Amino acid sequence: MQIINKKTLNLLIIVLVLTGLLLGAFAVPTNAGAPDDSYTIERYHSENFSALSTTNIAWQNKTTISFTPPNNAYFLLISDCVIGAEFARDPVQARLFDGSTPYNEIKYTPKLANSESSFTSHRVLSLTADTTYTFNNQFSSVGGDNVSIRDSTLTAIQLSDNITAEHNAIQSTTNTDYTDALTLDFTGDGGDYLIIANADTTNSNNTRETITELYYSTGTASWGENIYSPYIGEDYGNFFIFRKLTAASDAQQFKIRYKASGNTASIRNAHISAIDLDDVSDIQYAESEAVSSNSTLPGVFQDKATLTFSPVAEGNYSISMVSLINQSDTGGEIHSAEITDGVNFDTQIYTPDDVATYIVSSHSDVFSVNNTSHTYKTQFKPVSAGTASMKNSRIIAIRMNTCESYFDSAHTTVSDNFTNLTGTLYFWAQGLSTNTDYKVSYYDHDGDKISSDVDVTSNANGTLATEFDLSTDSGAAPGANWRAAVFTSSASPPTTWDAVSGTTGFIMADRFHVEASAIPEFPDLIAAIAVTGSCFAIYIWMRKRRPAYVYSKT
Amino acid sequence: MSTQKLRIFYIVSLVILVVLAASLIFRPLETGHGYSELQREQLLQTESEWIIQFDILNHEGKRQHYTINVIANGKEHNEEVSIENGRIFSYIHHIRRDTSNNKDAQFVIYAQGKNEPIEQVTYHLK
Repeated sequence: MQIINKKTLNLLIIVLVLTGLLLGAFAVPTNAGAPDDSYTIERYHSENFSALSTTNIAWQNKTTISFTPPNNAYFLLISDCVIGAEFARDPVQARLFDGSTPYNEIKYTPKLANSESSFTSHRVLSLTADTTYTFNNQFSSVGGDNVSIRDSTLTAIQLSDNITAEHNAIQSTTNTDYTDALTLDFTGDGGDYLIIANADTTNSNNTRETITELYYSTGTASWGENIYSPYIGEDYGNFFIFRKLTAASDAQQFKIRYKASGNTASIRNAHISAIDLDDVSDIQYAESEAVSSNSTLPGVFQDKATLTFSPVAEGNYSISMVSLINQSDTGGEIHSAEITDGVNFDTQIYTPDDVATYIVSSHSDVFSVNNTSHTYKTQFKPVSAGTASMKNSRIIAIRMNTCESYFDSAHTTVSDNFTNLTGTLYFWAQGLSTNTDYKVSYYDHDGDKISSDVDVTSNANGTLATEFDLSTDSGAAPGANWRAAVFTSSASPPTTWDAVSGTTGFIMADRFHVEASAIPEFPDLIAAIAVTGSCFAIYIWMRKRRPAYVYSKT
Repeated sequence: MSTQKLRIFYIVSLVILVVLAASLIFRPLETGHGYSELQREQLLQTESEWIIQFDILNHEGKRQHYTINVIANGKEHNEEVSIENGRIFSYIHHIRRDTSNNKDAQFVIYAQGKNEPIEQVTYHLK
């Protein structure tokens, strides 16, 4: 009896060959990638932290934010940056610009080459649906010298209320007692408010100061006094203060007041806004009001205000910090810093011309945080000489809208890791307008748009849910940096991810990782070679074996 | 079948295998003229909306740019997409009943470089 004959052997080889070819036809390249943490980009936030220099006296854009609200709404717009110059005494200008009107504008002349100034501005705006709005942080050289800007951010947050007052025209006084520049009256609803005050201030004489304060009339209390002396008379400096008003009921009144230490004090572009914190969720706030001083050299950073909190869920937070800083020695510097979880996210060095000055040190940015404890601090120290002081230091964290990918349709299990060709990704976004249409587009590892969900509607809570079938496209490349991006209904999601951030109507995005399927597959060539080699090996092995014959005697 | 014939058949099959293996290296398989295809076209209805969905498959032999033009509820959408050869793009469009004008929803899909749309569908929504 033959164990196997040539006919069977040949058929076996043919079957193996055909099987190998079929396996090769379904080859998918394997691609292992490292898992990535998910992050979200909040609504209407733009940032550019790199330093940009220019000698141009024409205004240059540093950061631009452009968006199209889906509904008529109020928006809080906040801009922030740090400006300086390559050499001492070279003036630099900065402004927040809407295309036709500067909202705030300052000119800063550093005493020393590494001395810098914060520039922060805000507005509460009434915006129209389906209209595109563009705002720019701009800077320019005054005399054609090399000047710089860095750490520039722009953030727009939709509000339900519009409690704001403004007086943009120039006002002046020689009064050495406080004069009202602007008054905001409103009736509180018993909840908390964020009070923001902003203006450009100057004095006609560079040896005199203009003192500006945010005054809480109802409580007869000063909420921060800024003392500014221009390097050149009439050069405007930045006045910016915010503070949380707690459990405000009945009539409330705030003022921006100003006075001169001598000569003429002037103020322009004055704004006060009361932001109802019921509009946003999970507000965190900390402050340290009294003056703290530090004269120990070499300087070591001293903590001023500290905010520690654990978010209810991971997501994006807008973190804003503001302090008033002073250096007692015109030969010394004060180094102020804003710290996130032990890491500097902004530092500023300031050298005064006038030891009486208390200027603004501020920064605003958006961070993606997980639901563990996080700590934010303001800090300061002297450099080389004198006593550094800091007061009225405040930190606020505001949860922004966010989105995330989930394993389940009930959105209880967040996942940033999925497997190619299997299952469904459940995408969920929060903090959007209610009962409003949006577009959600998905981009794969290569940055190609592979799916769009058009006119999907948010619910009465402002949440949005879509799904993505991971088995739709067998050719999709597994790997990191897959994304789901949310756009307004009127937006045109671009064909590639690279263009998304600059697309009008882009709101936010989530990043996730898609791993290769668990069944390994091989490239066509390797499959063919492996099968061919296997065929030969089997053939040679079978040839070496001798069939056993059983003879039967008849 | 005689042993000799089997041997010949076996040798021929090995030769074919070698040729196929070589062709993977030197000459990719071609399937003839390129084309684009729609799959999984469907119209779904829920209490609150209609959902229209389809997949675009690119068999053009090269990366192809498409435009999906939609006119529904008095609004016009244009979706631009670039699909690599052999790949799929999935499109879903929601039409709310509460804002619907109960008129037709028209979908036209163009492939760049082609005069005629690759697909034109009108859905009568009521």
